Amino acid sequence: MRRAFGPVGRALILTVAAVFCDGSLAVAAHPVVPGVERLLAEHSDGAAKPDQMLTAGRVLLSELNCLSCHKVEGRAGQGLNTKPAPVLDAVGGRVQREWLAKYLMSPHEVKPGTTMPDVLGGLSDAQRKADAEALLHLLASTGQAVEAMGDTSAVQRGEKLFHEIGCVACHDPQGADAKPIADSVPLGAIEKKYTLPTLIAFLKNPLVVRHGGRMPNLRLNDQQARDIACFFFRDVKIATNLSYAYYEGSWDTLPDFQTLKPVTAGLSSGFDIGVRKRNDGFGLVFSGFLHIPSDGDFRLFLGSDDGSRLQIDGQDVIVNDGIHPHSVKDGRIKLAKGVHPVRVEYFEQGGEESLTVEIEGSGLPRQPLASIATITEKVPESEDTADAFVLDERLVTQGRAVFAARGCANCHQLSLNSPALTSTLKAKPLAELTDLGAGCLSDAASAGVPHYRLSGVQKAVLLSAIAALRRNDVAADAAPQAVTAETLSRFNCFACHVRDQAGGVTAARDGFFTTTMKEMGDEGRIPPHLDGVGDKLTESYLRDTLNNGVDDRPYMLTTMPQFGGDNVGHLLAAFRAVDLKTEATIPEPSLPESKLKAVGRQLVGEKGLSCIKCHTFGPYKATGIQSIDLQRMSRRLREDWFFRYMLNPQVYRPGTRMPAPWPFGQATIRDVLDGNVEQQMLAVWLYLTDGDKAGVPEGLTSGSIILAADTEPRIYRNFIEGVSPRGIAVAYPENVNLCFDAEELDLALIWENGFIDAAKHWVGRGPGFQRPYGDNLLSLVRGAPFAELDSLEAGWPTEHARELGYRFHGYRFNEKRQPVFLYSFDDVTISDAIIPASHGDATAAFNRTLTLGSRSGRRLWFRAAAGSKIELADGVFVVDDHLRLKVDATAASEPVVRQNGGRFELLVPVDVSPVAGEIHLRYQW
Amino acid sequence: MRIAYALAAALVCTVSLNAAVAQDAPTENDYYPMASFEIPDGINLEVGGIEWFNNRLAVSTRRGDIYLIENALADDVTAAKFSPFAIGLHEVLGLAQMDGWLYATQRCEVSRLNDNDHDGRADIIETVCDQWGITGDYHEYAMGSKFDRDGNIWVVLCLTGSFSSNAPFRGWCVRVTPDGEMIPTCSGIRSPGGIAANHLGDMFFTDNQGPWNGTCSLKHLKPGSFQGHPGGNVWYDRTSVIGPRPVEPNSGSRMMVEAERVPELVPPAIYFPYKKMGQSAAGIACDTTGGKFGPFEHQLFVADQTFSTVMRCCLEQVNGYYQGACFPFREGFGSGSLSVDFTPDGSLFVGGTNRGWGSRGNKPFALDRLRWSGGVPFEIHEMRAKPDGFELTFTEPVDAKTAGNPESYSLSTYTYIYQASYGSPEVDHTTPTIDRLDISSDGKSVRLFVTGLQKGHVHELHADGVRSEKGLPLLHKEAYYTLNFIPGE
Repeated sequence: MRRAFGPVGRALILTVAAVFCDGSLAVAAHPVVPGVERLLAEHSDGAAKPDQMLTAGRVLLSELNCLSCHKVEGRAGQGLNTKPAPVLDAVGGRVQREWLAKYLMSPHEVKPGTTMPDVLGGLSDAQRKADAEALLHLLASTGQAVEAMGDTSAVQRGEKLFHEIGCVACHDPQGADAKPIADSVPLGAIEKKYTLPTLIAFLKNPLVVRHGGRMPNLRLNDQQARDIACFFFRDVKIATNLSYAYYEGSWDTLPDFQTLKPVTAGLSSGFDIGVRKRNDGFGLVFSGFLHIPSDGDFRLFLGSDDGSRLQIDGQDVIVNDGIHPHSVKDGRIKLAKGVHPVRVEYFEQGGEESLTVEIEGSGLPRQPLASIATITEKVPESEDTADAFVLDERLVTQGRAVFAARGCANCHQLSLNSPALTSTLKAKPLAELTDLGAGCLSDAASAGVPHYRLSGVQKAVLLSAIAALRRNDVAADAAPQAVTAETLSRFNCFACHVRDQAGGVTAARDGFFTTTMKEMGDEGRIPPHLDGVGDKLTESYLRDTLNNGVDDRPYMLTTMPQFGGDNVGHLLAAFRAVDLKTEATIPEPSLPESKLKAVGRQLVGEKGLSCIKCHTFGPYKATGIQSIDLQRMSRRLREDWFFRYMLNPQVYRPGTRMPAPWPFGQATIRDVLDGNVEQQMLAVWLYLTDGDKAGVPEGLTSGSIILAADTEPRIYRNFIEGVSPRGIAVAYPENVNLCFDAEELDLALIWENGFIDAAKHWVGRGPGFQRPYGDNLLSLVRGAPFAELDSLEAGWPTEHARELGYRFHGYRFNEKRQPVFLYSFDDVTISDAIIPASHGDATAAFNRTLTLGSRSGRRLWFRAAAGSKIELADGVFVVDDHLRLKVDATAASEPVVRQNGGRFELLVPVDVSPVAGEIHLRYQW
Repeated sequence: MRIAYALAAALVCTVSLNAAVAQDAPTENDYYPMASFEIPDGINLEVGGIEWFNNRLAVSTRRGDIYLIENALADDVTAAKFSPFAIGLHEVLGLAQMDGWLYATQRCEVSRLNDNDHDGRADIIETVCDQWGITGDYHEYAMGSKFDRDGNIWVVLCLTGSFSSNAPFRGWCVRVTPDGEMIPTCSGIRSPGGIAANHLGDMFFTDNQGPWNGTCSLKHLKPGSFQGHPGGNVWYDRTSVIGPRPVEPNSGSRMMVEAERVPELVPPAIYFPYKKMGQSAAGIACDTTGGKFGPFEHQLFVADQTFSTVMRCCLEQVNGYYQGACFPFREGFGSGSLSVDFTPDGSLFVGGTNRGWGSRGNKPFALDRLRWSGGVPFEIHEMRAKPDGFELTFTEPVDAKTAGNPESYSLSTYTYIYQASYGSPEVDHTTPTIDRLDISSDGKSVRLFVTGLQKGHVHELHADGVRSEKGLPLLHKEAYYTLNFIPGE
C-alpha cells in the first residue's frame, strides 16, 4: 500500500463497503475524483440518496473520460462531458523520460489514484514491454526536458505559497509532518516527473497542456511559480556542469581575472555563487560549453549584484559591470547549432550578492543557461552506458501505431508537426455494451481494455448512471440545477464553495484557508458561498470570474483561479437561469445625477455611512479592516441585487460583518436627501458606478492637504490630471473650480465642491498629476479655441495651440481677485474672464467673457463645445446631456452647430477689429 | 563680546598649550553668527528663491508662494512680518527684481509680478517666457538667476529624471532676454541646484552627483558649452544659435581625457568631493558686499542641501577655464540649504527645505541669516595653482615655524570616473610630495612646491599643523582644489 489514508478516508471506504458489500476494501488506489469522493462521503450515513449516486456516476463518466471511447446518442448524452487529457505534443520536453518509461508500464503504481487507465494492463509481459517501449520512443521524440537546480532561498517561500494559495484545496499538504487527506488529487512524485524548469512552465499556466481545467491556472507570477517548483525540488541535486575559479579581492569593477590567481577552483552545478568562501570581496569565473540545439537567435539575460560579464565564443554578449543592486541586462546573439564555449565573470564587493544567467529563443523557453551547459566539449556519457537512451525512429513509428491502437489517441492530443494522431481503437457506444462488468469495469485487467482499478462503489455508481442513460430517463439532468451541481463537482469547486447546501471547506483542509486580515474572521479566509451568485454578480463580471479568475479579495490568501471559459463558461447561463431576480425598488433620481453622485460620495465618506472604514478605495487603504475595493463594486454587483442587499446584508450573506447601512429600512443620516432611504441608496450606487473615476471619499486621505478658496479665489499651478503640465487651477468661494491650460490656451476643466488635494505634490518629491478633488468634473472641448474658417465645411485645426502661434501672457486680477487670462495669436489679443455665476440654483455655473482685439478686421470662429450630441433647447445648447451653454456674441450671425470628424461642434462667430469683439458664454453643468 | 573674549583668550595662550587652544578655539558662530527666522503658523516656507525687493525680503517657495518679509534685517528676527505677495505659482526657484517688477522663475515659465495698486499683493502675473518644454515629471525643475549685465535671466532646466530629456531644452541652460525670447546657451546639464554669476558677470551653476557627474560640482556656464551630460543633446536639432551637436563623450573615461576629445566640454570648475563637501550642491551667491561680509569678497558661497551647510569657493582662470578650490564655511542651518542670497546690508540669507531629500538640519523648512561679526577668522583665503605647486593665501599672517614645516600639511589627489552610470567613487589616487615651502614677507601667503601634481585631479589639502601668528589653528583646515589644468602646461 503506497498511501496511508487518514481517518476520514478510511471511514469513507469502510462505510461505502458496508453499503455495497463488494469487498473493495483492498483497493486503496482507485482513481481519485474529488467531487465523487465528496458526494459519496457526504452520504456515507448509509442512507444513500439515489439522485446523489446518479450525480456521482455521471461525474465519474465524465472525469474518467468514458465518453471519449463510448459514444452516447441522443438526449441521454445531454450535459455529459468528457475531460480532455493532457496535450502530449511536447511531453518529452516537459516530463522526464525515466518517469515516462515507468508510468507507461504501470501507471497505477507510479501515480496511485491516477484517473489514467492502464491500457497495456492485460497484455502479455512481452507485448506490454514492447508497447511501452514504442510509446516511450514516440513521446521522447517530442523533446527533452532540461534540468536546472532550484534555489534554496525559494523553498521556504514556495512551501508557504503552496499551502496558502489554494493548492491544498485539492492536493495533499506537503512536507515532513504533513498528513495526507483522503480525497486529494494525487500528485505522485512530482520532482521525478518534471524538471524544475518544466514544472515552473507548467505552473505558470496549466491550461496550456491541460485544457480541461481540472488543474486550474492559479495565475502565479514568475517568482511564485518558481518558488513552488523549488519547494518540490528541494531535495533534488543535479550533476555538476560547469568549472569555476574563485578569487578574493575588493573591486569596483570586474578585474582582469586572467592576471589574478584563484583561491580555489572546482566544478559547480550551474552558475552557483554558493561555491564562494565569503560573502564580500570575492570574484568568480565560470566556464563550460553550451549545447545549442538548433541554429537561431537567442536572447540572454545576465543579472547580478555586483558586476558581471557573459562571454560566448570569447565575445562579450552582456556586460553588467560596476557596483549595483541586483539588476538584469539582456543581450541578443545568433548561435549555430552545436557547441560554444561560455564564460561568466562575476564579482561582489559588499552587501547582497546574486547572479542569474538565462537564455531564451529558438525553441528554448526562458530558462537557466546552465541547463544546456557541460563541463567539457563533449556531452558526458551516461554513467551506465547500457542505459543510455537512444531515440529509435523505428520505435517511434511503432509507437504511433500503438498510440492509435491502444486508444491513447482517444483522450490525448499528440500532433508531431502534423494532424493529431487518431485512434484506431473502436469501442461500442455505451448503449450497445452488453456485459458491463467484463470491460473497463472489470477488476482484472484484460488485453485491449483500459484498466481503471475502480473501487466497488465507483463501479456501482457508474453502473447506475449507465443504467439511467440507457433508460433514457435523464431529461431532468440537463436542467440548470443539475448542470451547476455536476459542474461544481467535476471541477471540485465544492472544495472551496458551498452552493445548495453542498460543498464547502472540509475540516481536514480548513487550516489551509488563511487570510492577511484575521479581524475579518471566516469571511476573510473562506471563499464565498455561491447561492444566488447569478443574481449577485453582473453577467460580465461572472463571465470574467469563470473564464479568467479574479483577485478582488486580496486579503484572502486562497486565490480564485482561472478554470477557462471552455470548461466552466456554461455555468454563466446556468447560474443566471436559476438565480436571477429583478425585484428591487430603484427610484427615479430626485436630483441631477452629478449632484446625487456628490451626495453618494459624502455618504460613503467618514461623515456619512463610513463605508471607507472597512472597504478600500482603489489605492487608498480603509481606515479599519481592508475589505473589497469600493471602486470595483459597480463592476461586480448587479444594481438590483445591490438595492436588496443593502437593506439587509445578513439575508444574503449570513454572518457577514457588513452592517446594515439603513437598519430596519431607516436612514440614520436624516439631513441628507431628507433621510430618504431609496434616494440615499441610489446616490451611493450612482457614485460607485464611477468606479476608479469616482472622487476619493472624505476620510481616506489622512495626509491630504485640501486647498480651498477662502473669501477670494485660490490659484494652484501644478500638474493637474487631464490638463497639460501648464495647468492653472482656480477655486472660487462660490464652490466652483476651473483649470485653465496655459499650454493649449483653453478652459480645460470645470468642477464643483472640493478644489484640489495638494498632498500629491507637496508631500515628498511630489510626482504625478493630481485629479481635481471635487465633484461633477467636466472636461471641456480641447484644442485651439479660435480659427478662421474658409467655410463651415472646413475642418477645425488639429495642431497644438502653440504650433498655431498662440502665446500665453499670464493673468491679471480683477477687483474681486479673480484671474483674467491673457493670451494672443497672430495680431489678436484675448482676455478671458471666467466668473462664477450667481449661486443658488441646483447647478453650478460660470459666466465667461472673451474680449478680442486686433489691428486688422477679421471674422473668427470660437469653438465653444464639442460632443456626441448638441441640442438647442430654450435658447440653451445642451452638450451630451450635461453641459448647458448659453451663447451671446457681438457678431452679425448666429452660433452654428455642425458635424466635424464624427462629432458635433458648437461654433460661435466673432468679428474682431480695433473695436473689441466679445463673446459671452454661460456654462451650467 | 563673546568673540573678543575668545580671541583674547587665544592670544594669551601660547602655541605650546595646544590643548587649551583647542578648547577655547573660536567657532564658526563667533565670526558668522546665525539668526533663525520664526515662521508664522500656517506658512510653509520651503525656500526656493530669495531677493531684496522694495525694501523687503522676498522669499519664494517650492509650494509656489511668494512672501514679503518686513524688517528682515532687524536684529530681532522674531519680529519678522510675513505677507503673501503671490499665492499658487508653480514651484518658484529663482527671484530677481527690476524696475519695480519681481521676476519669478517657475517650473513652467519666467513671470514678472507687479503690485500696481500698492496693496502689498501682486495684481498682474505676466508671462515673460515659457518657451521650454515640460512633461509633468517632478525632476523637471527650472532655476532662474538674477539679471546679467544685458538684462537676461539665465534658467537651468533639469533633465526629465536623471538620464534623459523628454521635452525641448530639458538639460540645458537658456537665457531669457528682456523681450522674453529664449536663447539656448549651454547643453549638458543634469540636475541643477542653483545658479548665480560671479563678480565679473560670468554665470555658474551647481550640478549634482549622478550620471556623467562623479560628484557634485560648480560649473561655468560658458555660452556655447557642453556641461557634460549628453542626455539633452537631442535638442541641438532645435536651435541654430549654438554650434553643432558635440560628439558623445565616452562613458567610463575621465573628464580631462574627454575634454580633449569634445572641444565644447567645459570641465567642472570645482568638484565638491562627495560626503566630504556635502552631497547635494545647491544655491550660489557671490560676495559683492564690498567687505560688509568679511574678508572673502568676490568669492562664491555655495549651499549644500544634504549637509545643511554653506561652502566657500575661490576661482581663478587657467588656460581660459575657471578652476579653483572649495572650503568648508558654515554648518548648522535649520533645514536643507537650497537658496542663498546677499542683501545690501551684507547679510547672507540661507533658506531651504528637506522635503523629498533629507538634510542634516531637521526642520522641514527654514530661513536663516548670517552676518559677519567683524572678527577675522584664521582661514585659507585662497588656493591658487602654480606650475610647480600651489599658493595659499591666508586671512591672517601665519606662524612661520608651523606654516613653513611640510609636516603641517598633507596632500593627496584623486579624480572621478566620467560615466553614464550613477556617480563615481574617487579613483586614481596619488600622493604628491611637498618639497619646499616659502612664506611671503607679510606672512599671509605660502608657496607650496609640489612634485607630482595631477592634471584633472582634485588636490585635497589638509593644513592641520598650520598656526596663525597669534597661535590659532585654521578654523577650517581642509581645501579641495580642482586642478583641471596646470598653469604653464
